[in-house]
Amino acid sequence: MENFIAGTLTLFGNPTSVMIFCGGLLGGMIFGAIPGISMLTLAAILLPFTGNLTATDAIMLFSVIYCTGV
Amino acid sequence: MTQKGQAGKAVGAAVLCSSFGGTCSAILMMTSTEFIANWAIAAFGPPEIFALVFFGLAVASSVGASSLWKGWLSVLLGLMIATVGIDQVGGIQRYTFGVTYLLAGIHFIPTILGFFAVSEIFIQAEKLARGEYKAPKVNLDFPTFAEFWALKVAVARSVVIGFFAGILPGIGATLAAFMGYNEAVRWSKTPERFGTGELEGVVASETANNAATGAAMIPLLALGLPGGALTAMMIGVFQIHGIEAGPLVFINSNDLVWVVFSAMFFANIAIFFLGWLQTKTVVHLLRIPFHLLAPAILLLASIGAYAVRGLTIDIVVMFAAGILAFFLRRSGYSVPGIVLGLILGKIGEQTFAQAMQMLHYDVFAFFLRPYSAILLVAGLLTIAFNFYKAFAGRGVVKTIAD
Repeated sequence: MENFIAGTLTLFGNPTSVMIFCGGLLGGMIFGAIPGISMLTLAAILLPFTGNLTATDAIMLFSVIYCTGV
Repeated sequence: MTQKGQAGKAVGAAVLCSSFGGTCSAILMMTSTEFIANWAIAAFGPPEIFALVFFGLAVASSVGASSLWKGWLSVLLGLMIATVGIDQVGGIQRYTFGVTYLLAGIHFIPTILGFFAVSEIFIQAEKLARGEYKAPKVNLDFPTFAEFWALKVAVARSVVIGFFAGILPGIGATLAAFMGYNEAVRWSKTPERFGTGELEGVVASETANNAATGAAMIPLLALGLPGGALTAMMIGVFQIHGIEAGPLVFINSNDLVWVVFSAMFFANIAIFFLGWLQTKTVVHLLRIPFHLLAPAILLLASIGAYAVRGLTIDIVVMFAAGILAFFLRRSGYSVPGIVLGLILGKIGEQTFAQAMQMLHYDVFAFFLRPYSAILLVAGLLTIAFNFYKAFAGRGVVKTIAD
């Protein structure tokens, strides 16, 4: 529980992370809803650019896309 | 559901249950992953990880393609692509044909871009040309609490099915949705009403596929083993940042794990609110014509493929992989199977080499360690069972599209 609170504070305490979180939510939802194109397409396109993010933000973005895109 | 004029309510129930299934799965994931990772640190060495990779490949080969043979060929093609380049252990060149580009191996990012972005565009373009492409329509109307409460058994059952389907390597969310729906039909008192607008069917599949998402993170984070295409891409993200996915992530970057867990928890809750928002605003984005969307995606994919290493040949590799995947998908091969073969092949080869050094080059020593023995035998049984089923005449038609 303490870990969860600490994680939540890190996530929402950092403006960049919040932006990536929201972007992932919307992106996953839109790509998941367009027929024929899945969230995998979005994830594949974003994969090369994750090198510019921190590891935490990058993995967080992918997990958010995964949640909203299925 | 659409024929009954209740499409809105079906979408509403789907959104509600996606959110609920995902949140349950996220909570289960948060409580169990660290425990499994701690156990894995104590019990898992290279031989066990190799055995787990073997088991994962055995499962991955039996799902996803239109027949068992095609499933195996998909996985083996992935394993073959993984061997291209200089061998990490012995330094021998494999499948390089004297080409300098191939010395470093085929990079997985252009390959994945080709498999999932380029081939997807080709397949949709083909549908468009044949006039099968349909623009989406969304409207939303939430079911009443009483209607939702009546479905509580179906929802709970799908959470359990989705969760266990998600943990197993190679099954993933799409198959979880399938299994959730099938079980709902099997348990229903009125199975003949399914497919004609029964809310229970929608709820069962939507809950199950979201319940698989949190579960799929458990083997990824606790063992470093991807179960589907998206988790395989996450292994790629870890590699880009020089982090080895596996139980040590919990020790070396504990904050990363908990930020991810918290993000997944809130993302699942946000699905509920976004589903509502989607019908008001985001729906207009869905009306972007495909002939504008496709070039944009191809352009972004090309930039991405080039950006990784600054090599134009990566773009060629991407399109070659895209064209290959287009034909493979049309003939019933499993693209997620290829990607799992590619990613697991590299992990498997490395751990096998480490394990052999550790076990003084005695292959049978794998069977003297309890966990590696169990996993290897489980893998062999999976293979044997699937071949038995294939020879008994029942084909394996399943999918691991996530």
